[in-house]
Amino acid sequence: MLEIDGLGAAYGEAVVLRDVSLSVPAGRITALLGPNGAGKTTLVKAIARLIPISAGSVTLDGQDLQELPIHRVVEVGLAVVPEGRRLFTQMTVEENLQLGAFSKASRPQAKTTMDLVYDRFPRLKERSAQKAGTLSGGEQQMLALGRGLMAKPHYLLMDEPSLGLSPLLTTQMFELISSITELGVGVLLVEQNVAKTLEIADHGYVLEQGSIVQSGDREELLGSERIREAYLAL
Amino acid sequence: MNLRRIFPPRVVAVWLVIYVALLLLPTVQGITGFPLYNLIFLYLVFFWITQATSWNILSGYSGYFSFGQAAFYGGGMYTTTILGSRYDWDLLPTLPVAALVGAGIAFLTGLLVFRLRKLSGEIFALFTLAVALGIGALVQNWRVLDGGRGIVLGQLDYPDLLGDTTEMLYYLGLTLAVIALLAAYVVQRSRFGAGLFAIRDDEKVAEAIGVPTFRYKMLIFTVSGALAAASGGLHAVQVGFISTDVGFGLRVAVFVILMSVVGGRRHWFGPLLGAVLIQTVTDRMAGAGYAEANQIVLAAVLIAATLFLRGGISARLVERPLPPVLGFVLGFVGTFVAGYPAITAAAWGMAVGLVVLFVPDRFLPQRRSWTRGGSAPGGDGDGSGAGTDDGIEDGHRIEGDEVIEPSDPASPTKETGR
Repeated sequence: MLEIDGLGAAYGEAVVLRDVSLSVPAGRITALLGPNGAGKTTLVKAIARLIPISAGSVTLDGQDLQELPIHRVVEVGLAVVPEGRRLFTQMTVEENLQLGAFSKASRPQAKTTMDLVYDRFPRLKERSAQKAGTLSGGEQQMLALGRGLMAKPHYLLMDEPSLGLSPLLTTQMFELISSITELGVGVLLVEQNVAKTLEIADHGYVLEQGSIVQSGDREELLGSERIREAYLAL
Repeated sequence: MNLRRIFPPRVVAVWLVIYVALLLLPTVQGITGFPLYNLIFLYLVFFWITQATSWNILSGYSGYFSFGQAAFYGGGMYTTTILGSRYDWDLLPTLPVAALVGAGIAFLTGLLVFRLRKLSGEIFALFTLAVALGIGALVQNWRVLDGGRGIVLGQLDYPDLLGDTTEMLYYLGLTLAVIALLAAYVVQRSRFGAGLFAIRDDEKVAEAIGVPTFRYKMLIFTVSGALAAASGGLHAVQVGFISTDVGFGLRVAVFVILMSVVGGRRHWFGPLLGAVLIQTVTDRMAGAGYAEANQIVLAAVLIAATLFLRGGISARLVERPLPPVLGFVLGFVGTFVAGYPAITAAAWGMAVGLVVLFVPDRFLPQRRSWTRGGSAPGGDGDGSGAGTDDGIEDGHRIEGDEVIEPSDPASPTKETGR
C-alpha cells in the first residue's frame, strides 16, 4: 500500500496542496481526477520527491519515503512516468529503457523486463536504436511507460499518459495500463480523460484547489452527480 | 561487468597499435633524424588532449559546464613548481601530489556547489570561474606560494630512462593523455557514465530512476580535477617560468571548452579530435607568422561546428567515418609527398577531412559499407534478393576507384536498386 497522509506542498508562498490523504493499493488502479490547476501534477511530483513537501508523509509498505535519499526511492518500489514524459531525448530508445533499470533492485531483471516491454510495445523494439527525441508523441509516451516499468516498481505514478495521443492510441494506452496491474503493480493514474479512466480504475479521488473533495470506488464515482456534471458532461 | 563488452578486442587492438607507434616515435626520431620539433608539437597535443578530456568527463558527460579548468591546471602547475624549485623534489613524485591537490580543490568546490540545492548550470559555470580567479588571486598575493613575482622552475631530476627533456615530456605527456582517455572511455561505457549522461539530460528524472546524482557529480569532478592538475604539473616543466597569468589565466579554460565543443562532448574521443585539430591549426598559423589571425580561424571553426555539427566532429564521424578519414589521408599524403613538413601536411589533411565532413549526405556516394545495418529509406528487400545487384554495383564503384568523389544524386546508376 502506498499511503499519502496529510500531504502539503507549496511553490514559495503559493500553497498548492493542502492536507491531501489518499491510498494506492497494490495491484489496483487508483484514479486521481480534477480540473486543470487543481494540483494533480504537483501531487505526483511531491509523492515522487521531484519537489519537496511542506507537510505530511508518504509511506510505501510501511517505509517513510521522506527518510530516504531521493535516488533510493525507486529501490523501495516507486517509479514515476512524469508529465511531459521527460525522456532522455538525446539517447536511444534502448538506452532510455536501460536507464529505467538503473537501480540495484531492478538491474538483475533488466533483460527480462526489457523483453517484456518490447513484447508489449513492438514499436519500441523496431525503433530501439533511434533517438528518443525523434519518436512520435505516442511512441514517446510508450517509452516513458516502458522506462517506468523497467524499474520493476511495486507502485507506478502516471501523469497524463494519454496526453497528445490519437483516440486509437489512447484506447491502446488504457488497455496497457489496465494490464500493468496484472503484474501486481499498484497504479496512481492522473488523467484528463475521466470517462476512460473510470472504465479501468478500481477507485478514485477528486482533487480540487489542492484538496481532496471526493473519493470512492468506481461505481460510486460514476454514480455521483458532481462527477457526471463536471467531468463526464452527462 | 563484462570486460569484453567494455573493451572490444578490435578497438583495443587499433588503439594499442597507435599507442606503440607513438611510444616508438622518439627512437625513430633518434635514428632517422626527422625534425625534433615534431616531438615538441606532439607533447603539446598530448597536453591539450589531457586537459580537454579532463574537462569533458565532467562538463561534457554530466552537462555541468565548468569555466574553472585553471583552478586545477594552475593548482597542479604550482604544486610541481613549488615542490621542485623550493624543496628540490624529483619531477615524478610531484605529479601524484599535484593530482591530489587538483582532486582536493575539485572535491571542496564540489561540496560547496553540489550541496547547495537548486544550483543551476549557469551558476555552476560562474562559481567555477570564481574559484579559479580566487585561487589565482590567493597565489598572486600570498608570498608562501608566489607573491606576484613568478617562479623560475629549474631542471628537475627524473629517471635517465626517459631520455632528454623533450623525450621525457613526450613520454610523460603521452602517458597522461592515455590515462585521461582511458578514464573517459571506461566512464562512457560504464553504468557510471550512463548515470552521468542521464544527469546531463534531466537531473531530476535521473535521480528519480535511481542515479545517486550527488555522489556521481562529486566523483567525476574529483577525477577531472586530478587529471587536469597532474597534466598542469608536467606542463610547468615545459613552461619553465610560472606566474599566475600562466597558471590561472583564462586561456586554458577557454581552449578546453573550444576543443571539446568542436570535437564533440558526448563521445570520449571528441576532445581528442578537437585538441588535435586546434593545436595543429594554432601551431601552423603561428609557424606561418599569422598567430594573430589564429583566433579568427578558431572562431570560424567554432561557429561552423556549432551551426552545422550539433554533436561536434565526433558525432558526425561516428555516423559516417569513411569519407572524412579518406579525405584526411588523401590530403595528408598528398601534401607530405609534395615535400611539406609532416605537421603542415597533417593540417592540410585535416582541412580536407573537415570539408568532406561538412558535405551533406546527398552529395556523397550512397551510404553503404560504413553504415551499421542502416537500411535505405523505404527499402523493403534488404536481404538476399538485393545481394547480386549490390555486388554488381560495388564492382562499378570499385572500377571507378573514386570512392569519395561527389556523386551526381540524379544519376540513375547511383540509386541503389533496392
